[in-house]
Amino acid sequence: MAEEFEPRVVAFLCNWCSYAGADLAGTSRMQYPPNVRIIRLMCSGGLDPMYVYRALLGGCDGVLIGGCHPGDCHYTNGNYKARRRVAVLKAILRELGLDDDRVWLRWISASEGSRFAETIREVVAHLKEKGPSQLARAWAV
Amino acid sequence: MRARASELLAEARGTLVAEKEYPPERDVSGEPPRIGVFVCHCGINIAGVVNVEEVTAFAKSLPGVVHAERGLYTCSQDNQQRIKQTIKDRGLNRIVIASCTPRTHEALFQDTIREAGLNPFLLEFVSIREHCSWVHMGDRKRATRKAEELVSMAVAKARLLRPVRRTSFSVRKDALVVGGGIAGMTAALSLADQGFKVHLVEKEGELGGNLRKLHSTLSGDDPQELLRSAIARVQACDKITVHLRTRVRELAGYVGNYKTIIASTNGDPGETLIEHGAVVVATGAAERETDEYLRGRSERVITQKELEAKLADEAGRTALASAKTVAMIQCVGSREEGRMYCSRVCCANAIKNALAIKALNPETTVVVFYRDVRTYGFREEFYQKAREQGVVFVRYEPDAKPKVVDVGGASVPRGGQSPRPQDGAPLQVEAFDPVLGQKLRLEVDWLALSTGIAPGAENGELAKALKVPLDQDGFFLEAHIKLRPVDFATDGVYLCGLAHSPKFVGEAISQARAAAGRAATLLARDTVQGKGRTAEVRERLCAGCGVCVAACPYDAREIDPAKRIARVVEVLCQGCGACAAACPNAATKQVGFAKEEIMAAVDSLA
Amino acid sequence: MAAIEVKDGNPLGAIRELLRSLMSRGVVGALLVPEETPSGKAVVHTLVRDPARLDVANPLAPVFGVNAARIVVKMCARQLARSPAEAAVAQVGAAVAASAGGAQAHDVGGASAPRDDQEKPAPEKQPAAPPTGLVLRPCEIRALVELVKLQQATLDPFLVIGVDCWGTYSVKDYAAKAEKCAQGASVTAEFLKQMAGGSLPADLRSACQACRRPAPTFADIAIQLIGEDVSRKITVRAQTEKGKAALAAAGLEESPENPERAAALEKLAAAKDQAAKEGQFNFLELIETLCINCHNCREVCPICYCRQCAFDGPVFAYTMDKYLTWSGKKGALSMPPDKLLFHLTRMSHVATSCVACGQCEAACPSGIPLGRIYRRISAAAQEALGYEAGRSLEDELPLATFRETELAVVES
Repeated sequence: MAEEFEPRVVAFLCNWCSYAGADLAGTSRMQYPPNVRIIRLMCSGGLDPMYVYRALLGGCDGVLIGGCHPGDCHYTNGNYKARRRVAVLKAILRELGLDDDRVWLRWISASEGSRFAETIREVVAHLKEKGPSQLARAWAV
Repeated sequence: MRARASELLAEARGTLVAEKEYPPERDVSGEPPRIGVFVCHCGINIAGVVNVEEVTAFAKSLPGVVHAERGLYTCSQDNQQRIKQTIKDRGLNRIVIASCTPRTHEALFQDTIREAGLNPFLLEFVSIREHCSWVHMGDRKRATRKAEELVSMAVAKARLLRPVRRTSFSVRKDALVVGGGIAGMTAALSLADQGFKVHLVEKEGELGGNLRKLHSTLSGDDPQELLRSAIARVQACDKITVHLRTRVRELAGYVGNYKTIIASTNGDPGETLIEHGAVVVATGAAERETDEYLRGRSERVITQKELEAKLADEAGRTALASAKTVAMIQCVGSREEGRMYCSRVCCANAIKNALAIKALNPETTVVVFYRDVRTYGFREEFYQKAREQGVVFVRYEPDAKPKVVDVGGASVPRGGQSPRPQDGAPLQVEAFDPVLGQKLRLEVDWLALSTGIAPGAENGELAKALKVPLDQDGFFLEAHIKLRPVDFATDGVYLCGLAHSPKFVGEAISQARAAAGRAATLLARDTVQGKGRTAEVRERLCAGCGVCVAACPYDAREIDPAKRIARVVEVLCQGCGACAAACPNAATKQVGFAKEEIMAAVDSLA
Repeated sequence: MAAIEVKDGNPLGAIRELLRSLMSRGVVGALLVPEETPSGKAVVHTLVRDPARLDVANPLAPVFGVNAARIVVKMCARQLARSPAEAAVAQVGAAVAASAGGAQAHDVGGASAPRDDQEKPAPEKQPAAPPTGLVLRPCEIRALVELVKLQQATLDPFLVIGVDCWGTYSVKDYAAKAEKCAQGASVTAEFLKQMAGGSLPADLRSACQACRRPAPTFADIAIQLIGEDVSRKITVRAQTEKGKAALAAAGLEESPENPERAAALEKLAAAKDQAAKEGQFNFLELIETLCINCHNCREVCPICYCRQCAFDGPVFAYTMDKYLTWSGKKGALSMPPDKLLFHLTRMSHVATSCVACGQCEAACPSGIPLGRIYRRISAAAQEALGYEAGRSLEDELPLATFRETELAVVES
């Protein structure tokens, strides 16, 4: 009997909002699937697209990028820059036929613990249905 | 309140402070990584779900890890001692803590390892509680596996961590307050009382700002008395230098070390250079003008400030006393497309003026056209009182605004005597009354418009000079609405009064004190430290393309004109990493979150 | 006198004449222009000082070996950076100015270069040397515009002479055609005849087949060929003040605007749309099968400006241990690693400035259709951000700016 596919997800969360939101989800004991691994960045604006590609090539079926809501970035405008960078990244994946919907950008504030938990549930459910990532199983890296 | 306390205690500042001594920092640069991993049980908070023993054993197996142990409460006093001892005994030079969240406890452990002679930035902290045991309570096996992977990521990153030097910069203990209204004066006085020299810059020929046009308050306090006493105190204070008819022409520098050029507003040549450590922005705002409702075309259509001026003036009072009907329209030009914000003070203000008119002559009909009445807090009592005195309130919807028609054509010489009351009233106001369900047509003698408060016209220029942001409505934007309400995101610059948002005099005074208190926390120090985890440039790799300069929200980066490569103004750098993300080849490194460190963490997951 | 007079049905001769005038009258001190090699089988960018050597200039040859924007960057490298000795002098000058009391607030932590009036006076100001003329194709100019914004080049020492381009052959194909050419004939002449006839050759470089930008977006002087009967007339327009001054200094007159140009440009674009064979490609398979990780594409790309590529730097310098751990995790690791990552990352880095010149495809030893791939991803990226690479010096680099409300579609 084949094991049910469990997607591997890495989440890049910004220290001031989304990481704090994840902390709040924890403090509030909100339960969500254990598929995600969190990497802390100071700001979503500090996300290098290379991290996302490396995660996808390295075996992750999905990548979540969490940032502050537009207008609320602790560093004024990091999330706006992140949004543009992610737009380029997704355009590239799309044109290459590589599932741009495996990369999620979501704004989660420090007070939105439930939104964080909900996001993880959504991402995992979405990826479970989609199946394993082609890039994750690519022979070359 | 705290600022007030600071003012009173200014002389005692620092007298009870004891400096903490740390041992000399060990130079680990020649050593291979010797990582120590400390996994926390946190009582049963972690251990109840995650098999801490397994995680610890797993940690021990990772390359570079020479020591791994578990503790019941890693943050406890005795455990801290253990960590320090182990660092010494085992010669550890990188520490990984796997427990709660770095957002609360990182600083604690950084201090601990510093006490053991390690640079505090040789620490990596990962949450296996908030991000693991607390959220995967139903699946111990996978929670444990996840904890192991999280530790693996932290170890991968820790292996590449380098010690971080924090540079210190001196602080000039003078302040610059821009704006001499009540907020600016209050901030200046508070800072002076706390022992700091203040330069107070005002663009007009006298101090007071909008307070000069405030003649009464609902509470009965006399604003003009407040104004007089504030000005007197400012002028008497030897620590405050007032510069009238002056504006800020140029401002350069950084927190603790600003150099500002101020110049005259009336064309006089000559500039002055002021060197200071902090800036308080108190530039105020202005009553908004409008051309709605025949404003500008009929003498009878005035603003609330003009109405207030009449009420303060003998001739004006006479004119109003003989008026049959005075109407007011609230929310003029506010709370609609293009200007969505509410100006907060107009409801109370209108009611204040309405009550004053009624006091002059109870027979005068006063009708207020409103959308919502926002007399908050104790001001609600005055709303009640106004209704009891017969002030009529008629609600209108934004898509069915009152219409104003000039029928009397009563022309009044501008600035001349008050008009004689006409038999036929000069203005007609038509509006739909939702209570009666019918259209009203009023004949009014005076129509007062509450046009709200508009941000200062020169905010944009000042914002650029100070490198601070404006919000979408054009007012200055604070660093964080709750956590840093009178700071700007830019260090060393503070904000208060109408420049921030519409508010009452009492609120402006409180905010000014708060801003002064915050500025004092900076000025009270002899030095400021760079953030530590700031950006660095690997000069050899830099092509001087400038994308990092464009990316920085703090103007903490520039292209060195001689070398044509990027460089970082360390004291301004907040460590956000935007520059490093923009840099295509890692010529810029975000210390503590370097590309190689993050990639190592990502790889350890794979 | 008109800037260009085509005599004897020889447009190339007329252009050579124009270039000679510019040089002999000192309007330009040098010209970077494509010149025929002695074998006649290739055309190579050449920096010419001797007007006599312009006899073999051929900006009309349909061949494109190097994107000249890269050459311009090399020429500017020292213009932009000073030698250590010069740098030291400049720094002393700035320090002196800063300490010279009064309102000298500019140098404190500020981002500006030392002001001219504050620097120590330079020894005997030399009269400004005449600019170097750059004879460039539209895609070279577009790349140059991007590079100026990326502070890798400056237009100050140059006079940009843009020439229309219908398309080019690969270096190899051009050489083969030149070989087969009969005496007295030339690949250029054949090509111009074919263009006059209105049909596009099927063997143009694939990047050129899909190119909808045959006219320069920016130029001081524009040599316009499309919409002309070049055997009789070529239109020369000055498009900037610099260009106007240059023509005037050379005693040359601008041609009047050609009213048929707009329609001709549209017709050409339509023909390109038809001819463009986009096709599908399997990116993963292409890279897995054909890419040998040589990084040639990066070497020839005008936009790749990094002094040292990220992939040659510390982030990708692995220990033996790392290789073994990595391959241990996967079971087997294709070597050298980071082939796909290289391409994906390079795309993220250049997509917003890519001008689809197709040099990458020309340089790939395995013939991976990189030009077509980059055309598509760059078009998608630029469209997403409302930007067009190389269109204008005034457009801000799209990743250096943002709008508060945009790209909601990116948010999940």
